[in-house]
Amino acid sequence: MFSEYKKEYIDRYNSLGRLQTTSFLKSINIEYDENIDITINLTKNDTIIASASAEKNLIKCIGVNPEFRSEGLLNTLFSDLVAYKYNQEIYNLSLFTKAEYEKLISSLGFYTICKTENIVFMENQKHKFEEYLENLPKFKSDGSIGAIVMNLNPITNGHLYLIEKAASENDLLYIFVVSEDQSVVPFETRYRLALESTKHLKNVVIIKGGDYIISSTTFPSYFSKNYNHWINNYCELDLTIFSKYIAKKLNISKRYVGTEPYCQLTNYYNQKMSEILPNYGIDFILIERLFSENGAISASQVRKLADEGDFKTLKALVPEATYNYLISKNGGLNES
Amino acid sequence: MNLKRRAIAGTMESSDTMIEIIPWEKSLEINLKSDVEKQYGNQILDLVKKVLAEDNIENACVNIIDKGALDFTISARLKTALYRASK
Repeated sequence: MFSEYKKEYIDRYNSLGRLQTTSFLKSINIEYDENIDITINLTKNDTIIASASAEKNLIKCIGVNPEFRSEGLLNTLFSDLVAYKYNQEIYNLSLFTKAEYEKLISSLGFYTICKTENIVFMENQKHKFEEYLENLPKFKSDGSIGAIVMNLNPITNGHLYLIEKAASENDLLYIFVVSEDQSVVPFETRYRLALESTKHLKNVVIIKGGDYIISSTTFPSYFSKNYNHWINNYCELDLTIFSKYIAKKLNISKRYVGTEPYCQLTNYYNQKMSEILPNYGIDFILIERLFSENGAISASQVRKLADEGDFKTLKALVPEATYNYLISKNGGLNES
Repeated sequence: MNLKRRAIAGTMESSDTMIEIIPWEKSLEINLKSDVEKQYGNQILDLVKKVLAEDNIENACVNIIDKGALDFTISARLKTALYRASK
């Protein structure tokens, strides 16, 4: 087969190649994703017959022309993709697929981490998820244990209100800080500000969300803000991983969220949460968001005020640690 | 042989095998996925263990994705992966 087909590597800057890939995938009902950093195609007489792509460590947009299926073209594409990523020192690859392809993908070196009715999440590192679960800091408590997953970009009084409320209703409260570094405030800072701002709450544990809680691994669209038909599947999968494995491991029986007046995707995610969590015996608790005189307090509003240098308004909306961080970032020029 | 880094050799093409070596403090773990696992799984594992033993490899994770490769192919891929991992 080697002489019959040609192989082409298409990077971010090859717009013609990306265009051709887009139209090939479209012909087999797959939507090309603009965040892809590498595409590998097999062509015959200059026509694409098979394609596979990746965005960082996530394999996406796998498609083979129906006439050429069962020729093992995916074996070629996966071999090359693994080798290509290996050269970039990216070793852990993951992907989402439909149940009907689970066996095929498994034969290409992938293991099923979690599956729902509609989707299978697979990784090529057999023990990565197990190790993640083992490394979660587990605290003992005989009473009720709650959890909140937050981005804290950066932590505001609105977040703190939700944390205090949840902390008062539980013996132990885990705060998972989303660790994906795609937010304005870097993870290390978001984490540190959360620690400092919750010092007074003795039953609150702040931990790193890692790769399996709203990360680009388990929930790619959350970061690309690319609304597509996979959103529903990603939400389901992320929440199933949380309920079935993470909450179980840490004995979490309640998950809190604040009402979301702005972001459609977050709202949708919360809605799915209210449906999925109870299936695993976890209470979904929605808390009305804290309002200031300018409406609901949000991190984006806080960032905007910091950008505008309105530290007077800002001071009333954030914990001291966040205030100091934003001021110092701004060189303190606008302090009034 | 001293393993210094993770390394890979081979492909997932038909009749080939892709082998990854990861230095690992725990023990020796061999994960085999093979299209012919039912018929030849044990034979492949024996071969892999033999090659590893020749180089005194006791602490490593060895991931094998086999597509029906013959013994000498498996052996060659494994030796190449080991060589790369030891560089």
